[in-house]
Amino acid sequence: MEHPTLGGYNGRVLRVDLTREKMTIEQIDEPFCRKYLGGAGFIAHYLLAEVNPGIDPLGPENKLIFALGPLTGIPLGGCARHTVGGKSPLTGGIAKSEVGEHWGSQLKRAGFDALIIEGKAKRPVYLYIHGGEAAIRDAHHLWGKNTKETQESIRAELADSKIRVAMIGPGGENQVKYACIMHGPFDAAGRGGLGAVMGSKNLKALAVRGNEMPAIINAAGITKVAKWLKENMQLVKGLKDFGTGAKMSGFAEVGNLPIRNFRDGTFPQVDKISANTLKATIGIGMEGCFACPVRCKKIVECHEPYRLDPAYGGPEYETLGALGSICGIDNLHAVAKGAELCNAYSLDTISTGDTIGFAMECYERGLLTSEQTQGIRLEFGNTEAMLRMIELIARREGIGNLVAEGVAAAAKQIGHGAEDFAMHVKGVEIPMHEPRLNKALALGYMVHPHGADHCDSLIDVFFKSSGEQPNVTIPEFIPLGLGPAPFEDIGPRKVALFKAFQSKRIICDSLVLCLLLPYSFAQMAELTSAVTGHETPVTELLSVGERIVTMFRLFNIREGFTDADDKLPARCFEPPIGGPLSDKSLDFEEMERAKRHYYQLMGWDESGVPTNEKLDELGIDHLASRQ
Amino acid sequence: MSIKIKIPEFLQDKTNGRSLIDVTGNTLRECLVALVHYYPALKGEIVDGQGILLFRWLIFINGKLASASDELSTPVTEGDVVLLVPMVAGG
Repeated sequence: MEHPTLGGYNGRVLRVDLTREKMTIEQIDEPFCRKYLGGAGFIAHYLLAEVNPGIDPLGPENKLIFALGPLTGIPLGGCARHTVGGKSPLTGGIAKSEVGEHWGSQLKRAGFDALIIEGKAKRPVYLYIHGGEAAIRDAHHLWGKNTKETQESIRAELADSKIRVAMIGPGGENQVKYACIMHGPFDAAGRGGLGAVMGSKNLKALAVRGNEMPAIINAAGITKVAKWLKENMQLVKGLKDFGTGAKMSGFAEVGNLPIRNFRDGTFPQVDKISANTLKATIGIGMEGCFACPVRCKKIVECHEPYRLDPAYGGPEYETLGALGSICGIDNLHAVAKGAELCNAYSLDTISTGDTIGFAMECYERGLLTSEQTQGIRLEFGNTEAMLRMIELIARREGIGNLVAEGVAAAAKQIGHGAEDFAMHVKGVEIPMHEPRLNKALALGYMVHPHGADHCDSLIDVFFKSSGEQPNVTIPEFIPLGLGPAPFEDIGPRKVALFKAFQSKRIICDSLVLCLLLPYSFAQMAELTSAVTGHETPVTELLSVGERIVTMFRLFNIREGFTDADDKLPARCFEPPIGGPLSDKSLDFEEMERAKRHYYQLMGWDESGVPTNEKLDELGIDHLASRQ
Repeated sequence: MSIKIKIPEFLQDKTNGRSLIDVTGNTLRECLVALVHYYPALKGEIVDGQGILLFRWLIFINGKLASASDELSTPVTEGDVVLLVPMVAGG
């Protein structure tokens, strides 16, 4: 669309063939944008249309896609995000991950709605995108650098301190299977190993700069929601004051905090690693994404016992859990240092912490020997071992090379029952919310095509009756005919709530909107209508959400995934040792019933295969023959 | 029934620093109504104006989760200890 008929879009996608060093600009039109929205939707379309089944995720045939949505870059809190996707080296299925910062808003202003990276550069390169154009530049001198130094070097080289940089560090270069893509030194597109895909293409960084925003049709619609947010900042007060991870003791008290590779149920030292303690000790301030008044990103600084560089931000809740309680570590300084190293090397903190915790349990059980760990005493609670492991993983040295494959592959290689306590789904390590406490969350971990993902799931308290608090799940789902469900339930009512919520999150991932801001379905529809000029009711958004989830499913089916892959690790079906869940575990049959009911609600058959009738209803019947 | 309610640390500025408070009631709802009566600053923190539990709270009675669909209707008995836990840390 040379002159886009929908606001919020540039109507242009940049395709970069690194093998041939060729770049082309493709047009996208209004029907395409309405059908797939952007972000996760664009990724689903391009991966299904262009990536052949069975290709090596780390080969030149894989594609790495950065996709914005119509809301990316508009001047409103929560609208700084975009989605990155590709075939995952960790799972062999679809990977998608969202991230904020300013990069997406700059790409929007540089004149593009998405980047499709294909092929493999002969030598390290980076892309410089600005003013509707792009150039492939040599990155030989950047290879091996940490993320902070990479960003500094690129800004100096291009003589522009405002350039925003998406990049990999040594973890991505060495193709650690759960390497992430950093956007600036402390915002990560974390999950699924997309940093390894970037490394496999010899692509070090994508630098963007732009200054021309596409038209927004009804700016007053944005102002209205911005005013609402300003008047309801108390809803995000905890995030504004502490970021994620405040009052973690509550999570430990109810059993939501995973402890020592999900083995144990008590962690009395939890307060030592909470965001409250962080703020009172090493916290020096907060940062935020483009146009967001919440500013939930922690900044830390310290000189002893570890030097903490504020340029790398501070640990989120997921990191406090993964590098803290999962590894049995209560040393906040060490956890923050571990977060800094992960950000510097572009490693996903959740997968890194989970794999180290898994390796610690293997060591304590005698499945990994001191000889294999080169003398590292890989015991729970050993802070130096945790930090040393991050270094080894990033460089794939010694035991790090095994653990860099992720818990699923490492467990397979270690054997002797290690797979029973390898905490992953489809190869993606489980985030820091305990599935044995939250059955709807557990169902989400099971069925998400991109593996165990906390962002497209929700802890079960949100599905309870909610009182008068506005804009939380239940009040907005009541008009859809859905009512609250008891906390411990996983019957049809809860499954229906989960399905509706999953659609909401996929829509967020496509618009692309932050999950932490409490916008309702109605506000999402209002915003979409205001920005694009196309009147978009909630029902249309819901239909797009279902379409995208179904397309993700089709991608995985094509790669050989079946309903048997929608499963939790064995440990979830036994209680943790001690603590509030010591008499609780998931019931296998109950979770299987919930899974089948979810398939039914999605219009998929008993085996989880979307029916032709459903594909027809969703307007993607052309994909039926590709299953 | 005499019941003890444990107050989370971050709400103790609204209970004059007290962490354990004795109230009387036959159900969780009656106990929380009594609690808010004694400490009006808690109003809106745990239950809303209509007496509905705000979604983010889980309630444990003697270490067991109150898991009825309407948790506040759960009966309590003499000597029970009620623990209020907020689920707000995630991200």
